Amino acid sequence: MEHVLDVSDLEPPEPLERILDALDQLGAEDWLHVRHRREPFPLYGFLQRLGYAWKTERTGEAAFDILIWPVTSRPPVPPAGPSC
Amino acid sequence: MLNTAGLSLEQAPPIGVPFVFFLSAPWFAVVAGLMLAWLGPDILLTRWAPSSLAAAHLLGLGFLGLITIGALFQLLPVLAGAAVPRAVGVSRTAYGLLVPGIAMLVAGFWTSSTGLQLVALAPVGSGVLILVIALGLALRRASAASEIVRVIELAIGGLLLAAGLGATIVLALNARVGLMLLPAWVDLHLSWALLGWAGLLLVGIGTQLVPLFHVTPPYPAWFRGAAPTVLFVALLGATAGHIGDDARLRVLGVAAALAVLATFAVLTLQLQAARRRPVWDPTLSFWWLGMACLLGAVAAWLADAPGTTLGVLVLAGVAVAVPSGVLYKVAPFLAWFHLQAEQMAQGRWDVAVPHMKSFVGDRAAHAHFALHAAALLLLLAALAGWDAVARPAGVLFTAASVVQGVNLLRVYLRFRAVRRLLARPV
Repeated sequence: MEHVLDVSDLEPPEPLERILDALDQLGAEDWLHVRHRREPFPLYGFLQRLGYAWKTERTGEAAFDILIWPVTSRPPVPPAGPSC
Repeated sequence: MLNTAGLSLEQAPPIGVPFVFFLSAPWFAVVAGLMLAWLGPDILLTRWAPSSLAAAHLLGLGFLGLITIGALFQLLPVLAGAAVPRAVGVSRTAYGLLVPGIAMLVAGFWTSSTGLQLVALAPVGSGVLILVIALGLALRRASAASEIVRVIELAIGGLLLAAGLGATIVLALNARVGLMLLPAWVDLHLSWALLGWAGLLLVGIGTQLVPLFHVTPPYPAWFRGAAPTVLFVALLGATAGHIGDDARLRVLGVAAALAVLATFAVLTLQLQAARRRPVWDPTLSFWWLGMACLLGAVAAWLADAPGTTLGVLVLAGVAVAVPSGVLYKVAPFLAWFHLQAEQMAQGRWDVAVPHMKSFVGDRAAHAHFALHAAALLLLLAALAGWDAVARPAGVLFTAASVVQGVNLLRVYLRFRAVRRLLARPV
């Protein structure tokens, strides 16, 4: 099941905090769909260490979609949306 | 664009890499403040005075140089996914060369000892070269071929030209060769140092950090795309004007470069006024002061104001104020980020990582801002002819820099205290 989290209007480090909190609540077959205004490079190291995989897609000038799922489960089907 | 590459926590340099530069920089500004407090209005008489040259390099190289170097080590991975190779060794070597080198160079200017200036060239020059090579390698590895990468590449070009021109001037002074041409070469050195290196970094890092930390709309794409190239090409034009003795080309080049920076200042103020969270913080105060001084410097240049007025507006008003404000976001963020990573590595969920805002209180940062703004105001009054306030301006500038040094040290000590808790056996 997809869980959507929009952190576009948050000041650092809140996006990272919210994403890590949301991952804590994620079920084994679930994935997190994060909407962000920039590519969150610092997040990736945390995801790697926590055992998550991710895909980042730029959907606008200041819009990124990040899909995050446990490495032990299959990648989710990316949601339909505008592509660049 | 699909991107699964990124930055591993191991790639991020240890926090000591940027912090050694951040913790040292304010003390160069303290020395500049003490010089003003001691020498009073004499230091503001002409930009050619030995004490003025010394103070300018304390602020331009000692303060601004060290902060930008420290920041680049940590911002490149965060903003562009580009880690500096062998960051610990490179930063320690560069620090070990630059800090004594800058101190020697400043002493050489103050005592008018061309011999000391010449000796200082070796550590400063090799420190700069090591950094340029390391940053260049990092940029080649950037996982995001972004605007920030291009801006930093151009800024590195500016740094190389500024450093090369500076070294040429010192060599010429020592050999007593081509002294008649020196004022023109000094102007070129200043243009590349302040506009080519610092100006480009201001535009490049500002267009990234203002939307990031103040949650503003992005800078217009046309500005982000064109500004760095226009600024760099304008400075090349000014340089060609200097070399070819073409006054019109020289003035046109500088004017175009200043137009880019004035546009950046106006856009920054507009975007910050339109931020999504209308909260006022010390970083914004520093930004607004810095942008007002940047616009003031452009107006002063148009009005053909004395070099000392331009120097004070650009160095104390922009080059000290803006990085000071940015550090109140960057330093606590880095402390928080590294503690989060440490907590995860140790699995110590029983130890709470402090919130980013608790590393340095707004009151302490506002005190720094108030002292700095008051010092700047008195400095401008002294430049306008009110000599009696030059020494008080120096005292306030010294106090502001001490407060900054202490505030940054507090961030680092708090970081170390929590890290010790995380490392303690359960």
